[in-house]
Amino acid sequence: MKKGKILIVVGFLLTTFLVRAQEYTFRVLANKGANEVKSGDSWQSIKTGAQLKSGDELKISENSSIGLVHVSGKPLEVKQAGSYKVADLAAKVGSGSSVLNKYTDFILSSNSAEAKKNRLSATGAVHRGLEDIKVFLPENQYAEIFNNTAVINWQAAKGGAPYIVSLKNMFDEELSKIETPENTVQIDLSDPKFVNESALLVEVRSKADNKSKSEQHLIKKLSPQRYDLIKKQLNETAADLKEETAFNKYLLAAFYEENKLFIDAITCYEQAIKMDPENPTYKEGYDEFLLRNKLKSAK
Amino acid sequence: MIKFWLNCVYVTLFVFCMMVAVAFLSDLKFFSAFDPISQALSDFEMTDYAFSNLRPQPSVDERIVLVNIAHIPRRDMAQQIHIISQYKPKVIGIDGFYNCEGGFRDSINCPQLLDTLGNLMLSSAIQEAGNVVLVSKLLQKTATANNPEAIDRYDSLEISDPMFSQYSTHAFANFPTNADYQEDVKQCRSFIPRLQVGDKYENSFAVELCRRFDSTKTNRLFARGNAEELVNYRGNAEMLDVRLKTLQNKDLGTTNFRLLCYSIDYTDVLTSNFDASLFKDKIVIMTFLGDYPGDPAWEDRYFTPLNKKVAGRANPDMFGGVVHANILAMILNEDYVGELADWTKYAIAILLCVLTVALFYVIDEKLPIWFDAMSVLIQVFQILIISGLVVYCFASFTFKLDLSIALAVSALVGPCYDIFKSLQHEIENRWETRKKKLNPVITN
Repeated sequence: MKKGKILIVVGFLLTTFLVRAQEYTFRVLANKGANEVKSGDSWQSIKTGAQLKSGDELKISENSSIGLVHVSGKPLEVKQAGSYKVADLAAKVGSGSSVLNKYTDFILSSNSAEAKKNRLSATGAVHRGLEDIKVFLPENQYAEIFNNTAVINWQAAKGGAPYIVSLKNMFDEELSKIETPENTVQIDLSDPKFVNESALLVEVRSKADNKSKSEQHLIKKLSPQRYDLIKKQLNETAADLKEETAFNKYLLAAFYEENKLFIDAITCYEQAIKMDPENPTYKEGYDEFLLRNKLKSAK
Repeated sequence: MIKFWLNCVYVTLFVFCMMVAVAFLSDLKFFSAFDPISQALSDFEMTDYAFSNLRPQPSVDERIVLVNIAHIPRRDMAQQIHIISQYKPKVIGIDGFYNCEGGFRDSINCPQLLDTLGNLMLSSAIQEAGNVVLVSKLLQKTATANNPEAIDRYDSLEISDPMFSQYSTHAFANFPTNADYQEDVKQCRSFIPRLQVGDKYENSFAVELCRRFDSTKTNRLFARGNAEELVNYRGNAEMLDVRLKTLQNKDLGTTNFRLLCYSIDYTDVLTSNFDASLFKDKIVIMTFLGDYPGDPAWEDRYFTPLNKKVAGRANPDMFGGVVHANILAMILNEDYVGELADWTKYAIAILLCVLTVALFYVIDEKLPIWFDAMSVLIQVFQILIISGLVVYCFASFTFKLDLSIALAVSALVGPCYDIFKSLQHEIENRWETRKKKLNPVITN
């Protein structure tokens, strides 16, 4: 009987300890950029509102930041790129100084801090991203393409049709020049002109106004290893999408988006809209895709 | 002894008369054209130091979630509401108008009407959510606007189009500022909890959200009986977008306390990149926080006492939606700013003045050689102590010790004492001379 009581007490203490061990240390208040958390063995992207436990690890990418709230209610902002252990971050919370100390520091240091800073940080100029023509292609880190077909669309704020789309290799040598009155062009990477190139640079400019041109965008073929990996995944997960229908293209676009192959996703959306132009689902889905991946600004 | 204290009271009266005279002269604005200092400091208060730098870090309010709506079209807004409402928040506040300003209903002045599908989707999303509060704007009808006496009297409301407002409640989003129009420079220190509009009462946006979440808290706010409440700012929702590596180590934010509550960008909502518990039973405020996280946009951005730069020219620091969230957090936490009653401010100033004058009399009598130096030192010491006390009380007890009259008294008491003494001597001398001249006549 006595042993039983001891077991119950030990069991209770153990359960309490385990429950406490499961409690979170931080919750994610705000997340900017492609930050990741390692919980267990795998790295996952961080979600706003997610719980971070003491044994987890954080990875903050460049020009990213994360706002955390400690279990005590105190906030913590992490904005330096790098890896952080959650336990180390927890140790930084709550080490704030008293009002009197802050007051003294403030009085003694505020003026000297103002005086010791660069005065030429701002320019009387603006950054112009050559965005008179906005091409709906992703940033260079997401410029990979799996298929041989790429559809390039653009929107012109200045300079009208006809447009000249120039395709260059990495040495800035022009491989092809396409003139079009439309705001779209389709290129075939299996064309002998491009077949030996691992990457292409795309630039669109107005024929009427040479000054109106887009930024240079990159289209990069996948490495053989990644190509095989995507092909394998495609065969496994999208085996029944081989039939050429608008809906299948729409579903394939989601697959490519998930794998950060945005150029392939764009091509799929374009093909779906072409196959079934009356159906608003594909157009709306395409707009939302462009918006959420920041390929197009919300206006 | 009575004569001594009577003299102290006379000097105090003289100090207050001088204060009235100075106030009258400054009202005439003789020198305002050449007075950049008072123009720059017109919005400054001592407590701003406490708000922006010296307070202990306030706790995060986990009951509030801010959702950035950027400039997304109505159909995406509909989708956001649809996604959020699936997670059962207590109330959804939309800090944006869905109408055309001025009541236009034609497609030239109101091209938004052309997107019929987007409008239907948004209307349907609001209806399905069933717990949406939309913002309204307090307006004056023409007759009221033309009446110079009708200051802060409102008899009309701007609300979103009926297809949206019929499925939601509305609450006004106006803040008391000195701005003449929406894009003007605006500073917000306080809010009006509710206001009579025609024959009905309209709650402010944050108050209405709080009422839908926990009505006992709003009842306690109304029970305080204040027509206007100071906002006890707890934090901002500020993320930085700094691309230059050399600047990334620097603190370039406009505020020191940058994390008030949860905040999420529209792209994360549309891709469901959030934890399932984020919206459950929360107060969701869908508001403009820039086109992207860290956008330094000035649209709907206010100067608040949290701004690191307390006076002079600065960047505005807080989006309007975050101001609403701060008000909401204050009501939920019942963490109001305490204030002195008006009579107390005068009582403290009078007491301080009488005691300072008494001290001056004692020094003047006992150490006349040191009087000038010591009186100036006492004044400087008093001003420093009062300023420090104001900041400390606010930072430690959230109590706004408005001692501006006492400060003015401290500044004026020295010169006023000297002038009064000179006048007193002059009057006494003249009286004595006159008495001597009159005495022979009386004796004859």
